[in-house]
Amino acid sequence: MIKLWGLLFFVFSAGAAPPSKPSQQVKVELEWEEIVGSTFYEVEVLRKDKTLVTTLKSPSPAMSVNLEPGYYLVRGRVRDHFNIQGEWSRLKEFLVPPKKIQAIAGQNSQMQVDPTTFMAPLKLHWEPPTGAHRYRIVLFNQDGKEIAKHESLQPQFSLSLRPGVYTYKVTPLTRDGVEGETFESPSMVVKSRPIPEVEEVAMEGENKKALLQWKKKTTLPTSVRLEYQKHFSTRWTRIHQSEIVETQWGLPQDLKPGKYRVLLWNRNRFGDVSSIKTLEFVIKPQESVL
Amino acid sequence: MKIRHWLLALLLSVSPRLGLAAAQQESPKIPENYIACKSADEFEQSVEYFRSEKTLELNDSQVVKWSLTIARGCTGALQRFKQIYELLNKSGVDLRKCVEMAASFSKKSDEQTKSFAGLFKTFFLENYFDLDFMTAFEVSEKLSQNPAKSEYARKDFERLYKFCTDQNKLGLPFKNCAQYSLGLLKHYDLFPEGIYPSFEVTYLFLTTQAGAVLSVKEALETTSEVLAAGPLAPENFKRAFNYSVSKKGLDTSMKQSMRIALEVAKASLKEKTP
Repeated sequence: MIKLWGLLFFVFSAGAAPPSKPSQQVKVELEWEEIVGSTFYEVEVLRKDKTLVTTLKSPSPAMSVNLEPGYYLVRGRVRDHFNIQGEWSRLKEFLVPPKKIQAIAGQNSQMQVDPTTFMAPLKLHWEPPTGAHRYRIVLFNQDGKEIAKHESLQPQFSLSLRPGVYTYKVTPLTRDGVEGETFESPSMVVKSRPIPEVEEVAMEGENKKALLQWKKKTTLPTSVRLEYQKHFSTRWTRIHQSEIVETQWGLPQDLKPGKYRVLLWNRNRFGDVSSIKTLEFVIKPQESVL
Repeated sequence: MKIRHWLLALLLSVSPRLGLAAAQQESPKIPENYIACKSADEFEQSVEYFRSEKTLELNDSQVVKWSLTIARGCTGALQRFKQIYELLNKSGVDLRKCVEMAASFSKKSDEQTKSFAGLFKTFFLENYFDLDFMTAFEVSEKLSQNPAKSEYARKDFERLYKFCTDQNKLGLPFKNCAQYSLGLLKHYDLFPEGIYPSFEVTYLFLTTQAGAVLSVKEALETTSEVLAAGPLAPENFKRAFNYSVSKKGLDTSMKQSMRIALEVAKASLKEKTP
């Protein structure tokens, strides 16, 4: 009598497939409880969509099969001494994960931003592990917060990073989404680069028709701010601010008597700023006014 | 008709006497140690001034407060206030400080106020000594503190500026003149009637009568050394130099005579023993 039996399958990934088999396949060992009275076991391995992958037959309750990593279903039935075939067991799922990524190249524990873009390029690449169809890459900041997620069909990934501390994880996945072991990176530190400051600030001409000039070793725009303070006051009042590409700026004419200071700094598109250069001057009244 | 004429004549004869009686009600006598002040005038005019000066943004109680402050400064207080307030306001001074300084000068004399204004312009303006604001302000304030000396101070530095910058005299750049003048301030307290006359006498002696052996720089330095010994030092220096260099005296060289004269000049002032 053929009993309905629950097959207990133990699945092992036994390593890479033998050279004669396709390279994306891994050897999987199947075994189950022996059914008393059975002489022959028949096992079907199906894909998730129930299409048949292979049929295995064995007199013993153990078989091995080469499969591509992925999601599978398996069922079995037995024959007894009288060659009577039993019914198929319930379908049971099992996963064959892709192999793990051994190493990832292209990362440095310390990086510095590019002086023109103020970002550090990160280009990762790795040997594609057996069975991986695509890869999920997740980037984390120093607080462990996920800041970027990406899926790639290729075993590579590029990103530009702002100054900070980062880690990332790369998980190989099969075609049908079975995840392999995640590769976790060590910390990477991206150091900022100081923004070159304004140099050699000088004022030409009389205070009331003056031209402010400076030099700089960058193409970044310069912020110019003019502030005013009355003698004996502690408060500076902003009277002008602008961002310019040139290395000179004409002061407003007819400045009223008092103290002035001009502040200059360079700034990139991320808001990183150089140190501030300051130039102070005093406007005095004309004798005729007094 | 006759009665009317008589009445008219009587009235005409009496009215001058009436006018004379009115004139005899004159201002009350003020004790010798005091000055009479038209405080009501000052108060009223101050109220009008503060109401019209919109930049100050004073409310009514502040107007009264400041007007009373000025009234306490006696006759001319508002004028003194305005002079200093407008000078400092136009020089870019914080309004609160302008009012504070102006109020302090409203209580001082006209000469002190004029001295501060004159000294400040001389020290601060670009075409004069062109000092930084705080130095110009503090020095002007210090020199105008003493009522007896403030006029001397103002005239001294105006004349010093002219002498120093005149191309026919010293002809020095403004900055050098300014630095030198500030150096003379150290000795200013020794000269109750001002320092300029002693400066001019000494400098001219060193560059003309003393054989013109000194350069402008040396002459200025020596002048400063002489002045450090007070108002009698220039005369003592001259006499000692002439004595040293003369045949009847020591008959020494110009340089040696200069050294001797300087030592004699330094002994021109001695502190009184208590």
